[in-house]
Amino acid sequence: MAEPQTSSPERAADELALAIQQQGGSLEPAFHALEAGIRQIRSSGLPLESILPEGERGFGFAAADVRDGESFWRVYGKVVRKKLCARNSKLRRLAETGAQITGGSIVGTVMASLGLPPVAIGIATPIAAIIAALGIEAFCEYTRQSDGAS
Amino acid sequence: MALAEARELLQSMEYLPASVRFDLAQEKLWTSLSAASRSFCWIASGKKSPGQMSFNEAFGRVWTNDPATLSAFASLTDESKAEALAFFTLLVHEYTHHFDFLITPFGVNYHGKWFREYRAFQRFAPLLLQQPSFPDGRFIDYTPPTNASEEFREAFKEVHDISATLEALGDGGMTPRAENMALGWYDNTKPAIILGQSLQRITVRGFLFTYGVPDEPNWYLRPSTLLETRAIVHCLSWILRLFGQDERAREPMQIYLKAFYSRAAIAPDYRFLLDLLASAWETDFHNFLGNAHIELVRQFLMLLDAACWYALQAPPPMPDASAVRSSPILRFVHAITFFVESFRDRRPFASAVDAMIAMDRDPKRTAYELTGIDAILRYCVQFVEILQNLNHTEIIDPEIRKHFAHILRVQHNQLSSRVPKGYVSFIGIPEEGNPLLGLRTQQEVDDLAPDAYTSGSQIRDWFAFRNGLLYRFLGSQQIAVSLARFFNDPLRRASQA
Repeated sequence: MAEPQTSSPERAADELALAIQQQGGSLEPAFHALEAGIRQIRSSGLPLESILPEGERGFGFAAADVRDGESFWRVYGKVVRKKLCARNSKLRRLAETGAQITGGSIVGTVMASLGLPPVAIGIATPIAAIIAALGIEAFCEYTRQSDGAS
Repeated sequence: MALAEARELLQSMEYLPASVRFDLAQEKLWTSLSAASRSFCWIASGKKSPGQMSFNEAFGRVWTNDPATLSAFASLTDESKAEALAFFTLLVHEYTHHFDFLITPFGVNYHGKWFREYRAFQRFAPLLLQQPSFPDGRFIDYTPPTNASEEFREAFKEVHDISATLEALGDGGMTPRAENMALGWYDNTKPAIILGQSLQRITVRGFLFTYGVPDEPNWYLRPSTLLETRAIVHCLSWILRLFGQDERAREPMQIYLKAFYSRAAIAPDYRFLLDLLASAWETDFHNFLGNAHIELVRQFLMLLDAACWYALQAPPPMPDASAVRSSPILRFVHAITFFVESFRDRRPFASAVDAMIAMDRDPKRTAYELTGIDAILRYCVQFVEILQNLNHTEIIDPEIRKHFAHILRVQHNQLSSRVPKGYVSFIGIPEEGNPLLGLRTQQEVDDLAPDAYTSGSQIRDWFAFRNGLLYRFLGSQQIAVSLARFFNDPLRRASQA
């Protein structure tokens, strides 16, 4: 299992994207990597919520708890999609150029677009891998379906 | 599948207290429900024609009074039952938050801090904009450059003291950095035993004395725990009411809890206090709900609601600056232990309000530096009047001034009307769990009803931006542009006005 701490983030993202594809699109490898990323943020002392895009936060009907990579993705995936898949986002523009997208090539874009601090590289890497493995259009559509939008 | 979709939607719905907004996609929720669940909602509301549900259709019926409703509910799957219950309790949950922020001393303290923080930014932002570089990282963690002027440092301190206090109180769903949460209260690092549970003493940002649990290292008992507990308790009490306050309510309550508040998936704020109180019966809340007599379940919910209501009467710091008196957490602990001891000693009180008055007279009151509710409410009214004056004379942006004027006017009305009543409030401790049914006077409807107020875009943008500035990682360009927009443009808008 590739983890961002043991290789360069770009290489780790490429390896993760490959692992996702080899497992028929299962995001399990990315979830494991996200868990490592969450540990990295928490051990830095930062609250995990600090990597969410800005916006007033309120009191929800039933806010889910983040316990592992999968629950992190359930909670944050839709917020990430909202930011990354916006019509004029960098990621959308990149898709329109028809350039070959790899996990490694978009780690920086994910970091910049989500306004992540360096300590969150372990979160950006699996997100980049998920996008590369699914393709930008499919990623935006996939997360749109999973957040209940029609 | 429909339940999963509804659950995801419900997880994204929220009440935004700073800008007084509800982010509720009710129509989307309606269309996400299964056909069976939608059909049940139609029957349960007694609707005769299509269109939006009226207040009476949504909240004016007791389901056990109508055999057709009961039989329709019984025919649903557990998933469809959960969807229907969520549909009928969503507003109960979110309006509990709305009211708690506008009718309590805790709300006065919180909105007062948002107001004072804005006012402090109004002084600090022009100084920050003159700096050659902007904060790198989260502004809540920022320290001014060593060569900063005294004026800059003073203005920064004013902002930071308020923001750090808000952060400790759980503002923006944020927990502070780990180094701002210290184990122990002063030198006392021994665990505290509350209702038989061993809890860690934790001090947040040097002033908030509270409790944590070892298996949730990034979490501590905070005001949002009290607020979410009240919201769930109100919803469960309302389900109890819909099902006739008897045994028939047990199964729906269990289904509701399992579907939306399972211990494995929900954030600790939602379940911690339910489990803590259940530990007085040496169990957790899920088991308690499954086994206790239904009348005891009703009393349990009433007691927990009242303890949280007592906690929310924590005032803004009073002239002696007692952090202990202003802590809703310590008030809660006093209330819950008092209630449980009274229950065990079979010391009956005619009402929850009588018990709260007795709490204020309890010998332990000195340890909590408590003062009577009358003094708290009167102080809050005066405090709001001071803020109203500051808002009128000092806030430059007309839209921001208008927003705070609205909040402060509502709080002034509500707190003033509470002075002669003390702890009594049909909205605050609703008999049947539904605070919307507690709106009794025209003033309450005018101040608090769903359509009473809509905040403007400048307000929404400010609170979205300040959350990003304080707690997240914004680029320096975005910080500069936004600060200039909020604190340079208002001068122009005010002069035009």
